[in-house]
Amino acid sequence: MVVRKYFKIYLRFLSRNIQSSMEYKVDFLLGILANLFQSILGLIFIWAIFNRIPTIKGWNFHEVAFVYGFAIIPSGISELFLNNVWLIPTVYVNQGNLDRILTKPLNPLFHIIADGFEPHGFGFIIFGASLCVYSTLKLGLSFSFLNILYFMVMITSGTIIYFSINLFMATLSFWLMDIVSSMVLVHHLSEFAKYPLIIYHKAVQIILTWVIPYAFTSFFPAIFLLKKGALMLSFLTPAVAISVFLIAYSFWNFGLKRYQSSGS
Amino acid sequence: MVLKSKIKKYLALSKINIQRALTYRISFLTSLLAALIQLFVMFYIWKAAFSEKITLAGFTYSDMLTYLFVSQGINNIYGWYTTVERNIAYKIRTGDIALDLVKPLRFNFARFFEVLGISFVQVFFIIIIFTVFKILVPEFRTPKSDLYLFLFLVSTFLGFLCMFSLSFLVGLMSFWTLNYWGLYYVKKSIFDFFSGAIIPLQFLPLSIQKIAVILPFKSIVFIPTLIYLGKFTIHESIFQILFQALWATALWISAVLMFKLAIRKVVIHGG
Repeated sequence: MVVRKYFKIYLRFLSRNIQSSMEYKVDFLLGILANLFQSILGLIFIWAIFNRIPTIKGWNFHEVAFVYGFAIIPSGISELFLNNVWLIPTVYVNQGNLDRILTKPLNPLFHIIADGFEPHGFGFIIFGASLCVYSTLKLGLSFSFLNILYFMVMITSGTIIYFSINLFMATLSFWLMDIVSSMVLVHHLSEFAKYPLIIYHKAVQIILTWVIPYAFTSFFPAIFLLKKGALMLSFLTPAVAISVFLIAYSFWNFGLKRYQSSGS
Repeated sequence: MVLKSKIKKYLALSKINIQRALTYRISFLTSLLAALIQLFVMFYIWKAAFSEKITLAGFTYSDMLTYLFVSQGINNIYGWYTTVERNIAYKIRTGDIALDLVKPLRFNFARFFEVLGISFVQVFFIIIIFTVFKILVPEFRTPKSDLYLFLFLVSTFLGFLCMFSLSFLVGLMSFWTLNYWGLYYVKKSIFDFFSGAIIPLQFLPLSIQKIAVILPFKSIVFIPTLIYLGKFTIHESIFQILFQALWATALWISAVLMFKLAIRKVVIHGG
């Protein structure tokens, strides 16, 4: 019953948000183009290098392209549906809009998230998905039902990881004033996840696996499909997603309890 | 005397913006650190690539690291925080542009000196970061001679002028869009690609290289970086600097003309 109610409300919010973003057609298209161009640029970089060398550390172009495509899909999905987490520090906490949310008979986090829809995310999703399909074909990997199911579960987990890390950082705004900058920085670390983890220094690998687990949004799930090993870590991805979400969500609830509005 | 007082007015704008950059130093440093993360990612990719082969497209590992650091450094003199298009878009949207039009300052010059102020602070931080790199990464080279260093500085300044005018032109497009965010990133992708900020132009297919050599974008990053590396002879360097000067002039004039056209639109919309 509760789920159905929330689902219905969510659809209402969504259709309204889509309408408002379609109002400015040029901006809508420019936003999608912006993300599309950015990701194409990243791919050209890889392509230009592989044009000169067939393999790097045992990886060929299509394998690297697959990881790249895989990485930007969850980042695109979280931008599309969960982007309002970025507004928590400024709009909701510092400017006190959270008060308005707290008076509603809804889960406050749900309300905040449902209130935002960022069509730019489409750029990443479209490009990432095309790239994954293209590389899969070129590498002669199979499109079996199980593989597709695995892909869906991993992409969902990746999206949850993106969201949870952002939520954790945003929650810090209950105590600290200028948190957006740090949030941007931590988010930027996801750049590392676009390329095979093995090329980085050991310390970077450990941080991206066990501290800020962006490696689970792309590299670990992808290597199973590419048949490049580390099975255990590949299948650990959903567990990592659930754990980071629980940590971030409890932290958020803890912060919410201590929240004192900026209003008088 | 008149000239002196004129320049003083503009320098005051630079000074205000230096202060502003220092006030918002956290956002300022964040944009630099974010650029640094990007640089690290590229560094590791090149490192892996050069573990397979000694030279790529005529670049040694040391060439490439130097190219990476210098090109990223130049590309970030004009960082997110400095963007003139962001500034113009804001002025257009809030209507503040009307206030600028009544001021006894030329709009283009005023914006240029604002950017100059912020970029000054940016350069200061970049030099600090580079000094650290120099100590940590022995492959990171300095220019061959003082003459090359001088040519590099001239070339960087001309590239900065080109970048300013191009961004100014993009900024004027916000007369037609509401959100400059999309515009900014579309612009940035195109600039990064053709300027050599992502990868040296030698790595691109010949057909694209042929287009890139006549476009103004290579003035921003590619030319100064190659001069720094000593990949051009002195003669070639001077020729490239002339190329930059030509584009810098043409773009500045276009920016002034476009601004005059755009302003007409404001006047028509005004009540």
